[in-house]
Amino acid sequence: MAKGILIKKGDENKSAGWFLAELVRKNIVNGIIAQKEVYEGEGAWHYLMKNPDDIEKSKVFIPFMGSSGATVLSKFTKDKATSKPVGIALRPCELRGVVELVKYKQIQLDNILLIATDCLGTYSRTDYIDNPEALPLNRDRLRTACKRCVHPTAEFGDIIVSYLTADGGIWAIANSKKGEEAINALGFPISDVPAERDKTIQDIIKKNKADREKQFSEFKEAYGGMDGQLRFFGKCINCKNCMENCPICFCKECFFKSPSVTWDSEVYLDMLDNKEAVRMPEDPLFFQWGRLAHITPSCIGCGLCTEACPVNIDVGLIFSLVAENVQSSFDYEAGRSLEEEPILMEFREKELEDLAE
Amino acid sequence: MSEFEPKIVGFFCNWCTSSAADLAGTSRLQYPANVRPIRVPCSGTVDPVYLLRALREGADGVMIGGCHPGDCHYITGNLKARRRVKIIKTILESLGLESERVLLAWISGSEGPKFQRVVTEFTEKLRKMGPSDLSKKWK
Repeated sequence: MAKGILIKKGDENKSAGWFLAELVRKNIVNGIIAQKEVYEGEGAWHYLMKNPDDIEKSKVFIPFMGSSGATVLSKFTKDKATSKPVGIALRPCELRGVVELVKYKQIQLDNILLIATDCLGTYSRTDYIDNPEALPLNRDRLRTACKRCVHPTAEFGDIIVSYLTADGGIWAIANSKKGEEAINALGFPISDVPAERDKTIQDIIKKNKADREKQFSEFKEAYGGMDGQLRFFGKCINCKNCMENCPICFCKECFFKSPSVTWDSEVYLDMLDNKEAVRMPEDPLFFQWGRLAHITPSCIGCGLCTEACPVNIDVGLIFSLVAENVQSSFDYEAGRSLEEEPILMEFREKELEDLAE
Repeated sequence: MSEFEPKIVGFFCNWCTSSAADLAGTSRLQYPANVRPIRVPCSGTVDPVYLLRALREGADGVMIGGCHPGDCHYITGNLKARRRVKIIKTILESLGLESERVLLAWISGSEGPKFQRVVTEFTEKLRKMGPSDLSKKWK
């Protein structure tokens, strides 16, 4: 049975904030990266903080995802591991993004204490800012990506911070050797986490799985086939915000931003020899399909692409659907474990033997 | 009305399938002229976006020709190509599109007759399937 410490300091956000602040007060870490709502009702963003009084006011359970913590950690440690220990609070999807980026050598985990928070879903950013009355969590307001999420809690990480079955407090559960050392060093009484927590998690997963299948079958019904694809991506404006906001998209030089995707006028005119019309300045369907080919082997389904879309295309839905098929065909799951090599980094001589002529 | 003639874009490895195509030619083995060969240093250099672009720009089929597993000049290039083709086919299938328009073939430099057979069969198959709608544009 999982063991942890029960903390009750007001509501779950305050308890978690207090726990994070304690990590700094007891000198276990030098700083904390967590989401903090500086202006009430304006959304919470990641801050690196050293003052325990500041850290106490962070809101790790706010149903609002400003940016992905995986991106934050990648900017923080891409070139060099941090020299001082830092803790970072991450949602399960952010943490799965971290796992993928570590494998692609975009994050270095030395001196990083991963604090995984339970997450039952977040609202769309604009929805939250319009109506910041956030809790209790309203399932109807959740982003589509959160409704179909089957990872409300993290498998990975050093410490799991859970508010399920904590009655307005939080459970801090050690999930690795590093996490155990940190929790022991805090010096609070350690007790058993109630078994109902697992049951609550299983119930959420079951509900979301049903939603997931429903979303996927509705998508295939409405947007399968070529006409459906043209309709789905027809309003894409080629802004590439989905790409910019994707935690997995990390290339410094992107094919879709290179001169390879546009030509000079003569080439466009030559194209008209074989075609009636050419979509200008570039073909969104080629961009989206190409990105599917590049990203779905590691897509974690966070849905930030949908959030970033200015014309409300549910990009994340098609990515999650395709990613599930791509990853399962290689018996791989993005973010599951650091030990598994990503799909395009591991090659076996004996596999897929029926594929080639 | 003339019969539909599919356009095929072929990405052929420099070390095997390109030589096989030459061998088929010098051995006077006839194969359909539908295939537009592009010689690449290794089948592993073919990024999936090249296949998708060919399909979007009007190819009725795309084909990658590489060395048999274990024979790659760069050790694992062909295994990379195989995983990428699997990914592309899975994407197309997931979206309800025709994944049969993508073909992967292992043809070594000495397999001129195999090159002839594979290209002939692929062309026949695409003829039966008819023109591809993957290049369809917004009207």
